[in-house]
Amino acid sequence: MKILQLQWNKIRNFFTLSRRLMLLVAGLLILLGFSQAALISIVARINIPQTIQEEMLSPTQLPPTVESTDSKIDILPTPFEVTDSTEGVLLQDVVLRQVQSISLLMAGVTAIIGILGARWITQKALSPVNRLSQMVKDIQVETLNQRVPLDGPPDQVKDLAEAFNHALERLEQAFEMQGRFVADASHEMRTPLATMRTNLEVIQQDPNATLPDYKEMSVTLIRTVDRLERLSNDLLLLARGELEVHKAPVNMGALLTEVVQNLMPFANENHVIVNMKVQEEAVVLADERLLRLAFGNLIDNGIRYNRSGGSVDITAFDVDNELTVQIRDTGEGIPSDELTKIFDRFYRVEKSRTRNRGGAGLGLAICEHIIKLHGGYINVTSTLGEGSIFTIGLPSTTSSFSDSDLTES
Amino acid sequence: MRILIIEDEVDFANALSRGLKNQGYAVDVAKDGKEGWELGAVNPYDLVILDLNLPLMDGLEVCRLLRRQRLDLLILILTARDQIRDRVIGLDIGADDYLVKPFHFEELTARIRALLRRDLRVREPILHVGDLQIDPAERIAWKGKRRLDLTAKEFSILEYLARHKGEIITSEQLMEHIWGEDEIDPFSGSVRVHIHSLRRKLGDKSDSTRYIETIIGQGYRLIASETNLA
Repeated sequence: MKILQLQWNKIRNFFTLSRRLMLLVAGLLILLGFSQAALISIVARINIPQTIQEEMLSPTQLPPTVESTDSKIDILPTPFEVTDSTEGVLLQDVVLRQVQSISLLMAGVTAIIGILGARWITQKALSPVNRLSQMVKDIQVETLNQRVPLDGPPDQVKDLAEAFNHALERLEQAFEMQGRFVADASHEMRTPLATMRTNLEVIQQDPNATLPDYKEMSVTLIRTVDRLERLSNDLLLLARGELEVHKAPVNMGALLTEVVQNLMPFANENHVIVNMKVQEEAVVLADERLLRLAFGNLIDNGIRYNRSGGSVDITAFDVDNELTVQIRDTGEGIPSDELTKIFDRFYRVEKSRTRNRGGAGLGLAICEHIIKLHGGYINVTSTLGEGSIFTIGLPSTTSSFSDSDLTES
Repeated sequence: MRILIIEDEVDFANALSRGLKNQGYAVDVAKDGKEGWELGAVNPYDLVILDLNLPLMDGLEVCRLLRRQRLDLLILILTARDQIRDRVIGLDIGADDYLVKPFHFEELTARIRALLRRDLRVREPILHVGDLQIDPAERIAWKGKRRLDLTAKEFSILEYLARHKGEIITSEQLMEHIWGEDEIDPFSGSVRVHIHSLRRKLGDKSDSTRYIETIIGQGYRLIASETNLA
């Protein structure tokens, strides 16, 4: 089997595109040459006997008249005289053989010229492709901004070049995004690291540092380590793909109630009322931990960026297998020019920065990431001075679970 | 020497401020760009340590405004942004130096000393006035071969006067450059108290001044008279 496989690979490797093209063109020309030869001989076979017989007839009829004018004529008709039906066939064979050999020779010449021509044509036809592949080979990660030149007629090669350019553009964008993400992430890492190093070095070089100084510093360091830990968790979560999501039926009513209960102390502290109106039986197929994190983030934001005495209203309704959750706050609202950016990684709304120290601007990016991992969407509308409304849509599976299943879960 | 730190990371700014105070600098902290610009515009700081990612006003904008207002102000950008483009923009917009977080505290203080030496009058790392030698890096002063036992404030006053030797320095100037915003004593007598004790340690007597001259109604002057060299 292995040997067969190897043989097959050898054969396959021999038949490259240029060789295939060459063989096809040459084969076609040879076939044409030989069929032409065959055609000529057939046509000759059908037509020649008649012509010869006609010619044969006229001389046999002629001899008497010729004979009468010249005695020498006697010699002339001799071949014709011998030519009866049997002699006619002989002559036909001679002519036919000649025609056949000439046409075979021509077919051979055609075949040789055909093979050489096919070689030349294939090379010629494939040269733009070779040029293109050489250019593409020369493109490195650092030179992703290069593009394949798009001159020449609008043919397959141009299509190919255009397709390459599109792919390059997408690659370049992806690399740029990745680069920006890494730069932002390293910036967010460096800041707490600098805090830790400076705290440690300053106290180490201070000969008068006391035990209370060290204790005070340890509090700062723990706070900073917490922040680094949160950041690395967030970054890991954002790097998580769909395969790592462990989905199971989740009762959204129960989940939202639990999230809100956990945030109640924080809401009371900020004098914010949380109202909830949730369709109890709504069930989604989801990773419960991730959804709890996403909705926790959103409701936490609603409380954090609210005014004292304000409220957060949460509604959840299941219509046609789509669960829509709305979280409406009575905060300051988000300026319209910042609305499109708030889901960007590391983006922080200017006003939130003075209030929420230590946040890296990943909260909403994580929410969006989680919701998208579940095949849902999230969007936001906001009115300055009145508040913002976050709307989340998730595919639900209410119909596929009986009520008894739900109450058990 | 008085330094302004403009930095929104409170835990970082506090540690930095403490470290620089231990080195004898007077330090103020501003927690956002706007406050930084306001403080920087009002007080005669010798050096500003500036973060770039600041709330309310971007660090680069603060740098541009401060530079436009004061040509002699030393600005050191201290940021976690490490891209070459950021460094180039920062330096081109008027900063004197650029250091990326995290850094070694020793390097930062060395850079601060190097920046303060840019003043052409005092290029040498150790200041000489007569037979006085003042080492700002080690914060040690010698009179001849004898090491002077000075407090942090006394050393700072001596260093400041040495950097401006021969010039009359008012007690307000000393207040502004050596005392931080939070430690300014409403009774400006404290300058006089420190000068008095400094003069005593230098061996100056009220009748025969060899180092620190008091110009009545104007201020103080560190002199390098012939007698000092003797």
